[in-house]
Amino acid sequence: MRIAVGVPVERCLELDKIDPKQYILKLMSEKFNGYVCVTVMGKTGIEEGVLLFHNGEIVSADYEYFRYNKNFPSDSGLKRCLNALLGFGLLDTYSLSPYQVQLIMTLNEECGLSEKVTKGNLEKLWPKEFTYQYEEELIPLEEKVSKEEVLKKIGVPELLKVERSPEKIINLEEVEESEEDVDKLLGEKK
Amino acid sequence: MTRVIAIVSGKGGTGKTTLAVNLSIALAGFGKKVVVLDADVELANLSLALGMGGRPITLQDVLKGEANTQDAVYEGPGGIKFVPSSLSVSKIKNIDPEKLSRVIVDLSIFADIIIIDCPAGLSQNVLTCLSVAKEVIIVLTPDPLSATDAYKTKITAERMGCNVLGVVVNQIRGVKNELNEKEIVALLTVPVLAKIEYDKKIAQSIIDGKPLILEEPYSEFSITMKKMAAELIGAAYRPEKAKKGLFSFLFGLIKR
Repeated sequence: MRIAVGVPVERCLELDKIDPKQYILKLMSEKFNGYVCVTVMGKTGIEEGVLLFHNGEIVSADYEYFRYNKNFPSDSGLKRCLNALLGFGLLDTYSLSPYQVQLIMTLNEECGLSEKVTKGNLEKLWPKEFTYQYEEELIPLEEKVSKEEVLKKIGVPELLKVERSPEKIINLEEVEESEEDVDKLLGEKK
Repeated sequence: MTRVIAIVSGKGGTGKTTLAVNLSIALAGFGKKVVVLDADVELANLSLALGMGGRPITLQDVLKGEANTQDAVYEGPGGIKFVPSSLSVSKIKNIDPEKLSRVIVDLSIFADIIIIDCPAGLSQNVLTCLSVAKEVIIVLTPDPLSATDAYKTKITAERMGCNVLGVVVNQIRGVKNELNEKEIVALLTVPVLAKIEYDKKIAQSIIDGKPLILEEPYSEFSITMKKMAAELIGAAYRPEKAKKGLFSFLFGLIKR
């Protein structure tokens, strides 16, 4: 989400030291204009979510997995942001003017929620507990291609034998000069 | 406990030195004491990439027993220290593992992280580097030649007892027959730590001896390096978005 810097309200709040739901409800009660940014360390890398508030209602959301360079805007971003609030990480809050919020909403139309989140429906959307499920959905991308297929594609299918040859711990004293020695140690025929 | 990370590739010209330089500076930016060691004793170029060639005492002098390790440590840009190799044709062909281990121990006294910029290939010098490093990052370009060499390097590193942290896919051009991330992960079965698109500015920064992470700290490349550094040390990093064009400029005006 493209956002303006805003005025820092809270910085580096540790999520496990606050009640995130109460924190969000407080912002809603105060008719907050601005955004909260939640940064958590997932299993495979850093994740960051942004919730944009307009007059105390959450109007836009976006969630990004840095490792996969993948972001989830709108409703799918919202559920990930709410999940992240129950994780281990940091929370920053920045206030903006209502005009700035509206401009950001316009600039990030794809992040707009199908239904605004208010004090009334937050309870319904709030997750019961933190889950890695969303992140795990991204992990299997590497399992769709096999090593054999890739080696075949690059024209060296026989290299698989190298990895499958009996594992031998390489001892430097056995290596004399060149890469050929390594190939021999790896079991590759020259 | 000092971390010793070897940057290896198999194939030459993949960007090991570029990564070693910029990643070291990124790690230093997170407050780590970083020393980068040029272990390419035959074709050294780290000091040139840092814009600090012609240092009088080098790794070769230490390995020959003609200087102490600390005499070969220099202040580099961006808060790093570095140990150069001699730019002249070295008399040392093979590094003595015991002597390199001694250098690493000496550097460990004041370093949190030692980055070893290894030579290309799988020569004895590379194996020596792997023997002193506990962790390895493999740099490859997404072409079949580089991937094949990276595959062999990964197997070799693991058989030497190293923990392969992952790969950096460099010089992505989006051309036909390039391997994609899925294929690279399937082949090497390690995570992709960073993906770097081909950018002539990166190559130029090495030629100019001005690390890009210092010259253009908000470029995509620099942000990628900082993200990678943060993940390596488990730090939080929130990238600053690079401003682009007039629209961003106008948008910036409304910032308080």
